[in-house]
Amino acid sequence: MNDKLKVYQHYIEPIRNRMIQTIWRLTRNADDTEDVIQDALERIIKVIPKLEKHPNPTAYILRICINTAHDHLRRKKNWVLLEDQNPTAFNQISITPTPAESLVWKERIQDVLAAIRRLPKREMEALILLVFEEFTYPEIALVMDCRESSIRSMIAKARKRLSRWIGESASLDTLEVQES
Amino acid sequence: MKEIRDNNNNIDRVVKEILDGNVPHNIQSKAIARFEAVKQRLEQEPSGSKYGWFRLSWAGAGMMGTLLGIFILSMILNQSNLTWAEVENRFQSVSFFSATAYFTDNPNEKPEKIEMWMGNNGKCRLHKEGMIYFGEKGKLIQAIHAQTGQPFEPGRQDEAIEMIRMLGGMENFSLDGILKTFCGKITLSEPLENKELGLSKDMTIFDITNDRTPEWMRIWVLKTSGLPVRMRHWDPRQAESMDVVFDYMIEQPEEAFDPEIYQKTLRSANNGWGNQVYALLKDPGGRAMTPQDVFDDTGYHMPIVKEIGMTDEGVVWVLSTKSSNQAPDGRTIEGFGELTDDLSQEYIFTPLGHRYKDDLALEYYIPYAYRIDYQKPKKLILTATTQPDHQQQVYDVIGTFKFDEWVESNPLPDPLIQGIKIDCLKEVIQEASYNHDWDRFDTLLSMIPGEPEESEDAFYRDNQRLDKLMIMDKKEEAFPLARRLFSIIQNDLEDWEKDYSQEAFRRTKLIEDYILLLCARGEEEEAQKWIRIQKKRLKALTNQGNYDAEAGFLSAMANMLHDRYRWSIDRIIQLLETDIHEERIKQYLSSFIHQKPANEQPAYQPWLKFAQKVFEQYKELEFPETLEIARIDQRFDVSHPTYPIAFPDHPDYVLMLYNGSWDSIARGYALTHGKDHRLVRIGDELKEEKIYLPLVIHENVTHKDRFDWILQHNGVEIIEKPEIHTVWVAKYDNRPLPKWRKVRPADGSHLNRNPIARGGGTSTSITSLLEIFERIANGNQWQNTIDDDPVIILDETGLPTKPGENQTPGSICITYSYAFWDGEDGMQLSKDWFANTFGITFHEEERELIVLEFQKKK
Repeated sequence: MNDKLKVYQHYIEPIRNRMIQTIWRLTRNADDTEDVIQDALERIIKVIPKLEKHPNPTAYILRICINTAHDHLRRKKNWVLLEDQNPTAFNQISITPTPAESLVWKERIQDVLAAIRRLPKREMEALILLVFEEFTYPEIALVMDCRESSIRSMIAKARKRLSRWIGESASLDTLEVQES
Repeated sequence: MKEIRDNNNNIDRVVKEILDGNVPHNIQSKAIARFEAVKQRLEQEPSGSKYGWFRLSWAGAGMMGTLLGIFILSMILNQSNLTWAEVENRFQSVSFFSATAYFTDNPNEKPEKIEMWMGNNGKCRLHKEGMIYFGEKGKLIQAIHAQTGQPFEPGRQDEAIEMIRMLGGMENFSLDGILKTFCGKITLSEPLENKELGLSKDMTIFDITNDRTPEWMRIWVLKTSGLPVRMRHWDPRQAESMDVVFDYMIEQPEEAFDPEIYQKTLRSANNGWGNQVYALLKDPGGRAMTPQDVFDDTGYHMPIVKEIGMTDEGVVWVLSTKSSNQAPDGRTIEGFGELTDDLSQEYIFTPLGHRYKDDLALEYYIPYAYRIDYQKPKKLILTATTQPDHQQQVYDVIGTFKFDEWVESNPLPDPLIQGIKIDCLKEVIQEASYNHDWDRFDTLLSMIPGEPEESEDAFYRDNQRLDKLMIMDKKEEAFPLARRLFSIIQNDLEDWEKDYSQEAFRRTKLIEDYILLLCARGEEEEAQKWIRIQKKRLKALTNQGNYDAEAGFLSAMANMLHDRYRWSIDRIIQLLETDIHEERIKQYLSSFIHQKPANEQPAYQPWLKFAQKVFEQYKELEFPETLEIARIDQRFDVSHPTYPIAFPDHPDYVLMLYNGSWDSIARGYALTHGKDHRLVRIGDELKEEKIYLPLVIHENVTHKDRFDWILQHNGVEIIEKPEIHTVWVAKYDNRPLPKWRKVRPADGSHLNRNPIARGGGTSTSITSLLEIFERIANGNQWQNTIDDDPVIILDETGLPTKPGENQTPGSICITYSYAFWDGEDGMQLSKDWFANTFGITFHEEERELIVLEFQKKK
């Protein structure tokens, strides 16, 4: 077995679904998800020697995924949300949303994604690693190669920006589903 | 504190809840397919050694592949009914050999090239991408950059060092050991003769395969000598290939393997890449090896300097024989074309003719520092180029000579062309004018004495001064000078019919300037008088078979009147007494001829209609001292475009509409107050608010005061907030800047797409260039504010941003033309261009910036 394959089987395959989830979360589009996965895998394969030595290869791989998704989305001028017909909130309460509700939900996702896309790259990386991937501040600092205090500051800035951009109206409280 | 934590939790929760969710099944399965494809590809990659079989590291170490190829060839010799002793003897009998490998891992890309030469006593020399490595008995002796001749320290990972180590073992190498080193545990097949290809009786062709991958190697070996001449490695999976060609020599000069002699050779007269890389090496067949050898046979060659001399004032003259070169497009190039010296002084190239007998060419090189800050050099560097008289076009360097001795000679030798007289002072004056180097220009002009009425040189001097004043748009100063000069040629012009093709024609620029200045002063009747005379005179010339000089004159006047004085088309036609829509004139006009004035464009009609109502209203009203909101009940529909319109009865007042979001007001405020328009933020309560202010404004109210008034009127205040942001700091390494007209834009042809910004002109100062680059870095957006997290470039180059008192935009311009591409590769190209051309680099830093926050007064 060659070295690259070993690395793939050891580090990449076990977190395959997590990688897809991370990328999907940021793209919400089938084509983009596929493209970003391809790009991210190429990037990961290029840094295999670094990956093998990294103290937290999982965080390192996920960071590459986030990074690649961010680059991809920033490159796209006309970003379109094509999927996500069945938003989570509706899934959770097991009802079918009306078309209007579905539209409102899609707009909300668009707003949040657009806001995340506007974040500076490092702030976005730190925030996603914290909120979604649930890494600790020291773990994120390690993977982003900076001090823990810098990570805290980045996340604070990212939250502040998101609050401003998304606004309080983005809260799910405003999207109460009325059973008809 | 609790509140902050709650807010943080809230935003995290919002983001998480909205963006979380399961990946739809169809997307999940497609994504997994991508993973599988990559895995499959990795499974097919060769194993054993780190990345490959025949090659040590195929993707990046072609050198190793080459070396391995050589060793495998040795094995073949062994297998081809030759004893090991015979193989050793054969190699020992080959005093010198060289190999050139071309390899690529992508059939669509150009191959890379590595060359090596083996000498006696374990000495070797390698060339890779302009770097020359000298080795002896497995150790690196010296690594030298071929272009600069400077030694350098190769990195630990440099493949050349490993290769030298391996080559050093050639005296006592063990075939088994080598194969184990390179091929790991893979078993190579025995070389088998490929009889289908064995067409030549004198050549045996062998194929080698292995037990793991479909790669194969083919070797062509001479039967009689037992020496390999060619080798090919092929990987059918990605069509990767390597071809190695071998040369065997009877003799290669010993000094070719001596780094000290090599360095000395580089320092000697004739440089150029070919000469530098292959210095001291000989072609085994006695053919030309270096460009210098090639020059002597065909194609370009270096002219031979017969004499080189210098006057006391530093003007260099070069007389060369064998001076003509033929360019591929058929042009004949005579002589050299470029000169500089050890002090990096610039010289103006002036060809002084060519004589067919002996193929003689004479050139002058006048120092740009002539009579002002010239320093006598110790060395002259003369370069032959393929395009000596077109400095902005792409040209090749044929070769370079360096001189530290020349004839000290006064005066200059006579030109080879009869009747030509070169005035060195005027040549430099022209160059200084071209560069907008006005201090130098003025100083040089002041060296010409006399009155323009009495001396042709003095007339030239004052005419040059007039040109400069016209470029600087200093009409008041220019007019008396223009009138004085014009009076000198006035009589000739009035009597133009006596001799209309002579002196007056050469004064066209003066005539045009004078007419323009008359127009600027409102003396249109006087201007018209000279226009009529000029038209008649030029028409007569046209009738004599010249090009339509009259159309040329009329279009030039029309362009200037529009561009400089913003005259309308009707007014221009009235002055010129010619309809400039005539095709013969229109073809020379700039685009203004195709544009309709705003008041004729349909889009502006609603605004004009609204304005008429305001004008009517104000016939009965008193105008404000400064400005006020137009007193009219009707509201203008802001979906239509507007522009400031002067009141017909009160032209010192304009009607202007400020509307839109606070973003644009904030940017306008910042720009008019000398602040950074990117560092503005709109408070929450103003974000949704739209401005609608149709203002009646006195012309004396500055734009700064207008924005102050708008803020005050709306109860808006500005809070200055220091914030830390990441910025790109532009730094300049203080290297001498190239002449702005000679700078070429970055070449992005390899990107295979059009630049998203391209342009040029004399206003391309460092400020405007960085502004354009910043716009590109922000996705071609101008209007980002701080909350858009724009790329902010801070100019800390120290280069002038505005022309000084005796300067024009050209005086501070750093390039005449530029091109920028988007994308990461485009940004990198631009950064490299800034770094390599100007020594300007960008460093990301966290900086405290003052952000202007616009908010409602509490």
